[in-house]
Amino acid sequence: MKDVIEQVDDWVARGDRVALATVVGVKRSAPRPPGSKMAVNDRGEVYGAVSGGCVEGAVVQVAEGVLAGGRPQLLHYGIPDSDAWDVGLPCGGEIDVWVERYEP
Amino acid sequence: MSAQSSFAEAARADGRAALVTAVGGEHVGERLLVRADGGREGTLGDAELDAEAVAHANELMWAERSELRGDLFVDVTAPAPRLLIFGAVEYANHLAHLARVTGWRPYVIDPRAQFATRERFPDAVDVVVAWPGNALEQLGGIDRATYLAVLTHDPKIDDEVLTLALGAEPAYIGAMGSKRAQAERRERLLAAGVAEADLARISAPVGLDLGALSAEEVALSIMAELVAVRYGRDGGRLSQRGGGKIH
Repeated sequence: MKDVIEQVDDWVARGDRVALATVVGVKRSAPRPPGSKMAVNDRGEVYGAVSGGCVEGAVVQVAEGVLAGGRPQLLHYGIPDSDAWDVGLPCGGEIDVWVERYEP
Repeated sequence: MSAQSSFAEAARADGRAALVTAVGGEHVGERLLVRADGGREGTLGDAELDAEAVAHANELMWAERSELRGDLFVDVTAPAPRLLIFGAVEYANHLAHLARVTGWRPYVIDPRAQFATRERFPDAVDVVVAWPGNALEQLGGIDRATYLAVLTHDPKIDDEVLTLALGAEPAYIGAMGSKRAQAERRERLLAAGVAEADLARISAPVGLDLGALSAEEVALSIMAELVAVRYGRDGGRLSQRGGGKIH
């Protein structure tokens, strides 16, 4: 939470709505440990990261859906090594990301 | 205040707390906050699930690790670990510096006002001029996230802090000293009524086996041991590990 709280506070102070994406689980080599967060506001601004940059785009889309009134969601990103070039995580890891509204 | 905003407040205040969120199952989206003092906020909507969550929270907030347990995600916020360095000696200065650089909160404690000065220890969060007992009182005592490094070589100071430390549950107690100094300390502590089994909790001599010679290198070997203890590792070479996680 410490990784994003200052930015989130600034956004909330100016009236933005904010969604948080949190790494909740990792398998094999994943770039960010559980608890790492990415914050997204309703202007489309993004702060922090949940991976090395490979799944952030997809997570932001879900976060925008949550900000628009969608339910919180548990996302799973994982790739068998054979598909690693198509989707995702550079080192063939897997991560679970929980996306929810932040209610200050 | 919601459990979530209280968790944010704990993170802002550099406090210790765990926010448990059901990320699956019947109660998905419900949250329960557990504080270090046992205080709670919110509920997962089921008393049995709450009890399970509290047990996970109490374990993980001190392990300082966020983790998924079944359908429950336990998110942890914790202050930087506190390193209490006893002895305003040269090693202490280098150790305080390395501790600061690696994100720890070092304090230097020594009753000798001539040595225990802010100028000599610019990287310490605070320099406390007091005997160990008084210093620990000023610093709010010893909790499970407190690491103690005893570098004084002065039996009066060493014995007092070691006795107090063994009466609490710190994350680490390390004491510097030659083989002979260790043996003498052992005799004194046993004579003072410290149990044999408790003596094994003192990591002595301090540090990892780096072959350190200079004061800076010795400080590095102590800091390396502290990091290894924090993450439950032995501190060997990664190249010689059979496999498994490196973080």
